[in-house]
Amino acid sequence: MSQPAPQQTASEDRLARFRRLRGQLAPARDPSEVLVQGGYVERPDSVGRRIAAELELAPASSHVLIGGVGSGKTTELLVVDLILDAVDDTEALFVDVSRRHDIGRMKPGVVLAQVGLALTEWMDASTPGQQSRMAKSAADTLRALALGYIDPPWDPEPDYDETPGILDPPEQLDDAVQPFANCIRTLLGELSDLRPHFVVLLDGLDRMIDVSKFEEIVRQDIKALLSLGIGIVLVGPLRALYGVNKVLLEFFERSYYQPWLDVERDEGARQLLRSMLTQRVEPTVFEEKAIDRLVGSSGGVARDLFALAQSACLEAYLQGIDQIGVSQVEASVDAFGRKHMQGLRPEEIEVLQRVRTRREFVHTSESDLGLLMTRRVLEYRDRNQQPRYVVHPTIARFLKAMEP
Amino acid sequence: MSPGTRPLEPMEFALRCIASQGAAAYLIYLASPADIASVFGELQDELTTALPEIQAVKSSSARQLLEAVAAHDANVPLLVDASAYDAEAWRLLDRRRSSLQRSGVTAIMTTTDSFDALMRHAPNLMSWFGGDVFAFPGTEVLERRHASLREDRLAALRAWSGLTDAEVLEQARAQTLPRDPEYAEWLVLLGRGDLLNA
Repeated sequence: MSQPAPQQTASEDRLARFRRLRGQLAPARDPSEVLVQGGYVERPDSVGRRIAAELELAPASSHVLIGGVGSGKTTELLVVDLILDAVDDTEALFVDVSRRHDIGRMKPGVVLAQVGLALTEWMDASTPGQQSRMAKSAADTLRALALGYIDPPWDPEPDYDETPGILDPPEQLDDAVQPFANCIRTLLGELSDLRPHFVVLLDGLDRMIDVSKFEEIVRQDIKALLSLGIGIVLVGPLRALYGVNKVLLEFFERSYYQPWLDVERDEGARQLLRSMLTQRVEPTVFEEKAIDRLVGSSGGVARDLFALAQSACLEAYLQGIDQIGVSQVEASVDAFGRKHMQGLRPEEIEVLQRVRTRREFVHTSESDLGLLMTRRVLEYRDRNQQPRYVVHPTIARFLKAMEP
Repeated sequence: MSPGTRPLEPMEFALRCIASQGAAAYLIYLASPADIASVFGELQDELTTALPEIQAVKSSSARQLLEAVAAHDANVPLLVDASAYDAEAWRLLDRRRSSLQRSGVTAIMTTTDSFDALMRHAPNLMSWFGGDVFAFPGTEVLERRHASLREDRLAALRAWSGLTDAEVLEQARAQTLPRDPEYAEWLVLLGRGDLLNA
């Protein structure tokens, strides 16, 4: 999966070179672009590979992946997609839920609608003009329900009142959800010869703040998809890992935690981050000591590693230096730390001082969870999954200077 | 007291933006509310010389920014006035972060207060910024002067009540805080005006 980083050509001028390097190091770079163009370095315990293996054996299984911001969750989801591409009877559909819907307004049916749309788009691309009337009708109905309509594509209401029976099925879905499930069932039936198995890779739900809404989605949409025999891999919100919210993980057959890398105690983690950096740009871009400093300062957060490297790259360009050294990295680390200290309240500074000096962190409040979400506090896990907490390395010296 | 961001003249900030064009880079420039308009204009002039294709986006809302991003090619450099963005605006942009993914440089001007809100309410978006956050010179000094005045007032409130900040916050959350206006002021000075309506 790994390919060497693009090399400088003889004709590339300095500005173009540094722009190219900045682009290759961008923390905001689309993970799918990184995978396709080279730059992905597989972890020894790759979550993506494990999930893909489970799905190859059990295509209708359900998995939830949780991890901190910048820990590489989307990348692992794309790795699953890539691996399942090679499996003839299984099709993976990647759906970023946040692209077509404001996840601040989640409600049952939204995920099903988007999965349905992804399925119709795949069907249109794979069997153009060959669909049965029933499949076309299901696709039209699904699109209308998802995107809105003026004239509904379904038959008008019957002119009699339906009276429900006395039985209330325990598996009954919400009225908003059932029609999507019905349409998807029809489409799956149409496509079953072409692709017996479908797996949906759901990204974006980790940004949901309201865990009760996440629970609704799981109980309705995810349950519906599973009942249709569709496999699920879902990136879930970090807060689902803590306290009473942990029970949500039991909906899924497997749950995975994508930790930040313990650069303090794990030499393998440090080497992995080094590889991530040297896979993105030619190894001579950075001095060796600069790479060490970048890795240590990242706290094991891959995205922060690239953010620091990208900034250091700019410092070097502005100083007229061609190889990025420790001095440029220090300037980048300083700026990053200053940024990372912004917006902290006094009580949060107190919590951070306790983490820094005594490694104590008990997240009992939203504010505490916020420190994890914003990566001021980093959680590492040992082989026994025991957590350990540190402050982000870039803010340690500022906190020390503020010590009473 | 927080260390503050690095001061930088507009021209130096513009140079960084120019060197970042095409690199999927996001740079932030802070200024006080009184300086935003003039500094934005100055940045626009500096950047237009080297990046004539740059688009200036003076959006009063996050939704306007999303529309502006969608309306332009991903490689076009953008200069955004985000000084009006509050916590809710940054939360929306955090949720819609995928829609902000671009290959061109995006320079965002805002105030310190607005940036503090970004840091609190947009953890996914803030992870894209790295250390490329700078301030118009004098902004931090002004903010520190305000912070010093704020701290003096907080000290006076603590002496008056005999309570600590933590105790006041705990009482506010438990809705047992006395109704004296001084306590409302205290919560606002601590940046917890949201607890007034709890």
